[in-house]
Amino acid sequence: MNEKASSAKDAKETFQCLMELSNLLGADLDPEVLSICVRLCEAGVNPELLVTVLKDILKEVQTIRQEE
Amino acid sequence: MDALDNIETKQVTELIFRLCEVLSKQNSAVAERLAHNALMCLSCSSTVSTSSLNQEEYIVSCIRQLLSSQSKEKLERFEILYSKLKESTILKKRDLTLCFLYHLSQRSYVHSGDPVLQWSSREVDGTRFNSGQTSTRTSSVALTNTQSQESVKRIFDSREKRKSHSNAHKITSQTTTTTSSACWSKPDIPSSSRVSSLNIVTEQELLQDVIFSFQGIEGKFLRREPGGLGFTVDTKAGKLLTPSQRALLERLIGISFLHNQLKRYCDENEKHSGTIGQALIATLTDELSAYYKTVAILQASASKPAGQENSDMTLKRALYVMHEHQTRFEWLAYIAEQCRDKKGGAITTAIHGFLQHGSKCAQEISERVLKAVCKPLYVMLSRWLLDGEINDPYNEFFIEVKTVSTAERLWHDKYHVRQHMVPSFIKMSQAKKILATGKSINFLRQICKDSGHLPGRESMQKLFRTTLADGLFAPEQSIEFHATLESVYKETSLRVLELLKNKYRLFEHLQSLRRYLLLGQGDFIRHLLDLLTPELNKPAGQIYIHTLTAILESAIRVTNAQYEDEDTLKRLAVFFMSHSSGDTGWDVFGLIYIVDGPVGTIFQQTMSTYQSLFGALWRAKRTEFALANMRRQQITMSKLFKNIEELRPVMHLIHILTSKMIHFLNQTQYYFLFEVLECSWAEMQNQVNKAECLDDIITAHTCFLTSVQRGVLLDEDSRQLFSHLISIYNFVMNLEGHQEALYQAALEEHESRVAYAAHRDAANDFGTDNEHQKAYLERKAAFRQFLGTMKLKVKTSAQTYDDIVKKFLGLLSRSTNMNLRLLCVRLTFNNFYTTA
Repeated sequence: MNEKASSAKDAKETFQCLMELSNLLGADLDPEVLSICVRLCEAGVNPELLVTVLKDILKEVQTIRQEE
Repeated sequence: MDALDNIETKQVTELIFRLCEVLSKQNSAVAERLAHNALMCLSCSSTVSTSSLNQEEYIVSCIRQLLSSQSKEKLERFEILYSKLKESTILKKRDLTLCFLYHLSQRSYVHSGDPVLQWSSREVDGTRFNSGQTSTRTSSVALTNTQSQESVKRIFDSREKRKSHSNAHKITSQTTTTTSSACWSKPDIPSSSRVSSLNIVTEQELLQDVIFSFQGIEGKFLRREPGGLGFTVDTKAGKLLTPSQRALLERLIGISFLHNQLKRYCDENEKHSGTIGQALIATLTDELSAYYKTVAILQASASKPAGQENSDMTLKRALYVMHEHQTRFEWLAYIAEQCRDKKGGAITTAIHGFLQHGSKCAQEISERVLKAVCKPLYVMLSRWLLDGEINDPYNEFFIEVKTVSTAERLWHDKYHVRQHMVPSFIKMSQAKKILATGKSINFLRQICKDSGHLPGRESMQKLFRTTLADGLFAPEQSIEFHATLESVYKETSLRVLELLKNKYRLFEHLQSLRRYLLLGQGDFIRHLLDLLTPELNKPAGQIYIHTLTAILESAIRVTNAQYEDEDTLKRLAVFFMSHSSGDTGWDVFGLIYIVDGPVGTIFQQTMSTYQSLFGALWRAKRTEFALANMRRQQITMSKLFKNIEELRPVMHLIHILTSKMIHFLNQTQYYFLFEVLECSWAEMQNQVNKAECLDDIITAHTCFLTSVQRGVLLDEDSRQLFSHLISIYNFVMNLEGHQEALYQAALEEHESRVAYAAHRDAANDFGTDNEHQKAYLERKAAFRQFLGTMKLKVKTSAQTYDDIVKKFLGLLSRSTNMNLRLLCVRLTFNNFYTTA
């Protein structure tokens, strides 16, 4: 129980760190998107490709929204 | 494996879908399309590069660079966050996450252009993605993937690999420093610059070439200079080099050049050089082997497999490692060049010059070399000073031995100082002392047969045992060496002198020479002259040496010479020069004094001088003797022939001339015997008593002889004077002949007159016998005529004698020698001879 709580706390802290880091680097990501991306990275996806994909998706979404 | 892969693939797919959903704001149709594209894109090249070993460090340093270019606070903040992340256990693939974030930020800065175009272009080429082809754009940003053409199926194949990598990474990332310099030296920098790496020569290749060249071997890029010692960068292969690489190479091959030069020097001189040259080469070889050691270490560190920790050796580092050797080699090569074509002491002189060099390095190296080079010299020197032996097969020592014909010449000729072999740290005076010390030892051993213990050796032996070769040139130690040398020199010389003075009776010999050859023993010479006169008046051919020896012995027996030492008398002998027709005994007779043994060293070579001195003095003595006899005869004649009136004018002339001659002879004899001989003798005695070594005595003796020679007008400058003197002597001898003839004639006349008177008295008649009277008158007339011619002869000879004396005096008065001018004044003290 205690262990679980501590790991949860740890996870929370780590995520906060990552969040801050992404802000620091000017990545401008939602917490949710960031968490998914981190998990993708953890799964071993090539980060550079992931970045490319993410950017592309964002652009795509933006254009769709503009069309609407 | 497959199950795990599947799980992972599934997870990735799910996550992508969720991402798309979130981003597309729950628009499922759009989300599905996006996810499909995204998956396609990811599948084409998704594996993390195997060589991403140090990726985290690299990414971190990139982030640092990026942030530091923005602001310091951001950098500090990042450090804090990064350290927190490192502590976290949640994040398994921190490097990937960081990489993701970094690239995301990079994108937001760099790719703000037209992503739509990219996206749409990818849509068009969608089929190509499916077939697994790499698009150029992705490969340019992908992590080092020369094998990036991977199929969709193998998207996550390298998972296992990745895991092991990340594990290893975790360990190393704790320890490795994250300085950017560490990244620089990594052979595989994961950057876009790697694209052009195909036609760039790597440091490793160059390094290998450089290491080869260090050992004098040609490589791929470095070629031997045709005909030279150095290397040049190959023109063909050199085109691939960057300017900085080329510059580094050129600096490094300088070392190769020096190495080749030294090596060649060693090879060339190894065979035909003496011990000192060998010592130099040995030192050079030592330096070379130290250098080879360094090269070996360099090789070892350069050939470690790439990618290993700290294995990297770069050209710059090699330059640093070799720098010390390079400076040493520069000096060594310079020293070696100075020593070329030199040998022995000349080498030490050449190296000693560097000891005063301003450069610390040059000083240190030259000292090292000089120490080595002086070792053989030191050994030779110790042998020479302690035992008088020379062991010098290559003629390198500064003392040389020559073969001598006689034992007497050992001191003078056997040993010499080789001027050009004297090291510059030994002064010429010191070299002379070293020479004299060893020479004295040899003199004692070989000539005096004195095998006794030599004084002062202990301190020298101790010195040679305790000090090294640097005692010769190092300022502090050399003081001790030179002091010991000085004392040993003095003691050895004293020993030689002592032996000569006491055992070999040097002074007695000098005294005897003076007494018998320089006519110091007056009574003996006088008596000898008395006895010899009848014998020596004969022609030289009729004189036999044994008669003369007998006369000499009887002269010794009668005079004070009989009290002389037995040994001295044995040495005294008659000497007979080779004669030609017309010579009388006077011309060829001489006395000699035989000197042999150790004292012969001093006297042997001066014997000819003694001979000529004896000749001159003997001649003067004889003339003086003749004059004395003439005067005696004149007195008896004046008494005996007082009845012969006609004789008087001639006798008067002769008398005057004889007086002149006596005056002249007395003055010159006084000058020769007192002013010249006695004064020089006193001076020599003074010098001999003060002498510190055998050379001093020899010098004093030679000085004595030269001054006597000059005094008795036997030297080169007074040749004219001496010839005048000889003709004056001849005049005396001439006059003696005249007087003798006169005496005979007068005696005959006198007897005939006496006989005539007796006959007249006996006849007792006052009328004279006509016949007798006629004969008497005729005889008287003939006698008168004889007297007349004699008078004429004496008159002319008196005139010529005066002329010659005047010439002689003229020469004397113009002489540069003050003593001779004084002699001139004494000879004509009342201006009897008015010199022109």
